Amino acid sequence: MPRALEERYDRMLREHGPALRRVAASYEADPARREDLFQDVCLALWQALPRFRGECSERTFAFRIAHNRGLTHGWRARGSAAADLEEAGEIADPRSDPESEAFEGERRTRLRSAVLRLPLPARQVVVLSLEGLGNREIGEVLGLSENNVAVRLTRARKLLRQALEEGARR
Amino acid sequence: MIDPEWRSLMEDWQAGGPEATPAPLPENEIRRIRRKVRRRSFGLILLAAGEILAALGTVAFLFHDLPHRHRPVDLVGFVGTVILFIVAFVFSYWNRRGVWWPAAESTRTFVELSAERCRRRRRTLRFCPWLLAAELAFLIPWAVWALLSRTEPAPLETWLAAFGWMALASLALLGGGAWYKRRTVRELAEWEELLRGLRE
Repeated sequence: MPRALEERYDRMLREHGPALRRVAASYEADPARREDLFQDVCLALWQALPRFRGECSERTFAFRIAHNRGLTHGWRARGSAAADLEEAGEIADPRSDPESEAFEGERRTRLRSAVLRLPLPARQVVVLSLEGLGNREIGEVLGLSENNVAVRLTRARKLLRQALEEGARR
Repeated sequence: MIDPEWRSLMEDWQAGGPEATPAPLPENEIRRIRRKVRRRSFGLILLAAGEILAALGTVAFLFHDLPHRHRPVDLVGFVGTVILFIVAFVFSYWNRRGVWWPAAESTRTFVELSAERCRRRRRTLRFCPWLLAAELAFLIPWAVWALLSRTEPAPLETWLAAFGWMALASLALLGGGAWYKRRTVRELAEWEELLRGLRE
């Protein structure tokens, strides 16, 4: 790979790596398999980058790859992330300090669990919206019209609210 | 305009979780990812090279002693094998046209192409028993002819070995094909369900 592409790849990883990790987390609850999925996304990004001609933004490009790898991973791993979550129980944050970060940690864990429990089409729009993408950009990632994204997002937010309320009652 | 509740959720999402990593990603993490990606890319290149070598090896094997084949049974065996090889190769090439691995396409296009890849795989699985039948229709009479045309009669073990291998290979192919077909049908159903979700 030419030096310029390598530098571009590094920059994209630096800028979008954390977001791509969170997208991977929306497809896989198990930590080891989640790391595998993230590596898959990085590999797919590396392979696809030479063909990227700037038809969309780099962020859209990276998110497309992450979601597409997530879909393939979901099929290969057999069973949904939500099913794994039920088996694994709630995701615990090993680094969180139970005394000082209990409340925030619990809120974030509940959000992640609620996102993982959403049906896939709703989960995709919610994750992209939580990452700060606008409706047009979400549409570019998923291949949907802006209006369609708006309708889906309204529905998905309702589902997320319900899932959060259910999580709070547990 | 983002409402405050959603903004708060966005902050929680982007801040938290066991895999939370600071943005931008640290240099040592990028180096670690690059090392892994390089290793896996190299593995994929080796795999592709292995496939090409296997195909070339088969062709070389078919042609290596062509100049020494003078008996009709050898020539018929050679021509029949080459024809079956070409039929399998042409079908495989034709069946793969237009379906690439669209990693960077939109999710909808990706799902559509993934479903199409499954349909093509199903077509391959429907084609395989016909190819197997054609191979057996050629190989069984040819093997009988080859064994009978030896200068000395072939012992029973040679007959058993020749037809035993043929039976075992056929059973393995049919069994493997049935398993793979079930898997492909399940996978196709999942992609089509996803596609319906995206079209709603």
